[in-house]
Amino acid sequence: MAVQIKLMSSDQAMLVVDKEVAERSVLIKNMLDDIGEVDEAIPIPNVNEAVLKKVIEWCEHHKGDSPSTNDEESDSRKRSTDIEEWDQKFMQVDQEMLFEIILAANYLDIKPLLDVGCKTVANMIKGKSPEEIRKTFNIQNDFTAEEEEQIRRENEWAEDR
Amino acid sequence: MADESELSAFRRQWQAEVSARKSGTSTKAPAAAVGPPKPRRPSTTQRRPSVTAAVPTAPTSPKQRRTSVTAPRRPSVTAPASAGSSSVSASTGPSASTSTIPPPAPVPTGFPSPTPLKTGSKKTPQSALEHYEAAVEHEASGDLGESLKLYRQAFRLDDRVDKVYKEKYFPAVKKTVDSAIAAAGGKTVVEKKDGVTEGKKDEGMPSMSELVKSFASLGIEAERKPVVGGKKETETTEEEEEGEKKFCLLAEVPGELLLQILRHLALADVAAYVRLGQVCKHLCYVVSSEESIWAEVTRRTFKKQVWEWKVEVDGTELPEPEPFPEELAEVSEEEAEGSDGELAEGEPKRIIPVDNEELERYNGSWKEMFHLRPRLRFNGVYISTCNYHRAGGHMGSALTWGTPVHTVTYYRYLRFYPDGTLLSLLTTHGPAEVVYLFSKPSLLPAALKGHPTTSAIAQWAPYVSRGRWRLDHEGRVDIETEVRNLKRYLFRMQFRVRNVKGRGAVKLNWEGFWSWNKLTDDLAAFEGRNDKPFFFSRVVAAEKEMGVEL
Repeated sequence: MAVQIKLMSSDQAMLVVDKEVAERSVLIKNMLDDIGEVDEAIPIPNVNEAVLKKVIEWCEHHKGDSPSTNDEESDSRKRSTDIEEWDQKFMQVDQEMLFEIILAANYLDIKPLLDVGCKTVANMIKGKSPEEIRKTFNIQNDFTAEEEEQIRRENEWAEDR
Repeated sequence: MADESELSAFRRQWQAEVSARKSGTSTKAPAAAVGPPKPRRPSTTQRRPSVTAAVPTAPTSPKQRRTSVTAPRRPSVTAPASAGSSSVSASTGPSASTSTIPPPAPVPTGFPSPTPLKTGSKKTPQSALEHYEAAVEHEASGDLGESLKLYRQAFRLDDRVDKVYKEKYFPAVKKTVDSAIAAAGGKTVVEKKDGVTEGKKDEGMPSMSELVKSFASLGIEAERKPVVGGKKETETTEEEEEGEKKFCLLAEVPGELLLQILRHLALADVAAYVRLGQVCKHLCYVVSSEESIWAEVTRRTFKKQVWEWKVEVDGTELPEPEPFPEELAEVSEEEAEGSDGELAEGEPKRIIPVDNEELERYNGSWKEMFHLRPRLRFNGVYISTCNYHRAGGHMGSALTWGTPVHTVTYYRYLRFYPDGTLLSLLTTHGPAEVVYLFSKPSLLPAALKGHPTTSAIAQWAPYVSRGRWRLDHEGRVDIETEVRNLKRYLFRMQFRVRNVKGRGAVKLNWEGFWSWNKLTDDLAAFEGRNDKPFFFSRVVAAEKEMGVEL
């Protein structure tokens, strides 16, 4: 029987998870290492219930992952924005949720999840024209027409990669 | 000469006044410096033309020194700059014009009529306008101290008094000055941003780096729900805008996480990363100036360059720890015999360039290094298009006057791989028939079987020769390829990677072309009269083959 711990979300929801799952979060792991066994719920003040559930879902799926999957070596061998299929599905959420997941992963120090989140956003940018990017992310175009044209010309070289 | 006497009269008058002030109210001088800026400016600005003559006499009072320091050289242009630190758009607005436009009356030469309205300046003025009029009068008569005092009082009573005054006397003049300032304003603003009076590039646009620098302080602007028309200038107006902001992930995310997103993007696809810089000013700034990302992109890119032979000409791998292969030593001896000075140097040891050391060649900018440093690209094909003319033969039966001339076009293709191998092809088939299939996988026998014998690839594929390449830190490319059906020969080609304006290092200039007889060690140079430089072309199929990340 796996050891379980309790997490308290910012909106006071109590979530019970396997210790092993929760320890995907380096923040929680360090905390548990420091304080040892606890009965009380660990407060996660920056993450609300919906997001925390989502994060735990990810951690459960990835609990068996070897911790070293994300060092520089494998990172450079794999393509930077390659995301495994399950993660792609997992990240099919609206932008607000995606944003919250990224923030939570950063706060809870779950590097692989943070990477998946950032890659998902990068993939939303990739292959789009500037105008399409603006539409996708609700960004105002604050260039004048001349500035935009000048920058486009100056950047042309990069299209060769 | 009349001017001079006038001038000296004025000088005397002023000196008298200055000394009078000095003895009388020395405490007033600092007060002048502290006082509200607006009243002082118009008068000092205005006096400037006459003051210049007087300056050399003696910087007698602190007040006078201040005058000469603060007096702007070109009143119409600099005034908005000094007044308008508050906002960029101010130069056109009415509030700016109040403080910037000097009262026109006191110009010594002109405007006789408006001044002497209240004839006795002894008569104490009441309203702001009266104060102002009195001040103008004093100024015109050269009594600067008194006039300054009155100006100040006038402005204290009503800080828009100069406008009122202008409307009273010079409604028309105001307009022209205003527009002059508006015209000048645009330029001053640009100059102000960087504090540099830069040589402007084409049609007055600031240069790229200046433009980018000016975006430094801006954030990403989220689109509003009800579309608010092109308001974007200042922070202050932004607050006033109605309409809720739509959720904008890239604007909301903390800067450090934005950088992580951008890093992933840059490493996956530099082109997409740079394109992101065209989305808005803030992203433009980040993309251009985030050197840590450029450093990583650059390091990874140049890590894939091949600085020393990695394989044999036929593609078999060379043993990894390769101190200096004998075969090479022979080659360089051979080179030494060649007439070409470039080759005669020989090369005792190849320098493997260190990225960080290269940096200084590119002004310390990783982005610039990525853009300009010689490298070979793997996501496409280098193509050289060659033409030559050949006299055609007469057709006996044809009744023509001239001799036909054939224009022969042929192409050279090179495709480099990061493992040190390459493909080389000389053919008359044009790029459209070649580039998409010019890759190792497409040339495998199994793959070739899929094409009918009449297809283009079936025709040119037999002529593709394998080879190897290496690059040195000066951008020299050495290539060796097999010679089909002549096993004892190798072709040796030498190129120099060159920059093409606006595209970067995408050109290969010929520096030599030899055939080398491996058995006899004979190196014979080709003339290559018709040979043209190679230019790089991106090929989507090649990008897919390599993975976009290159």
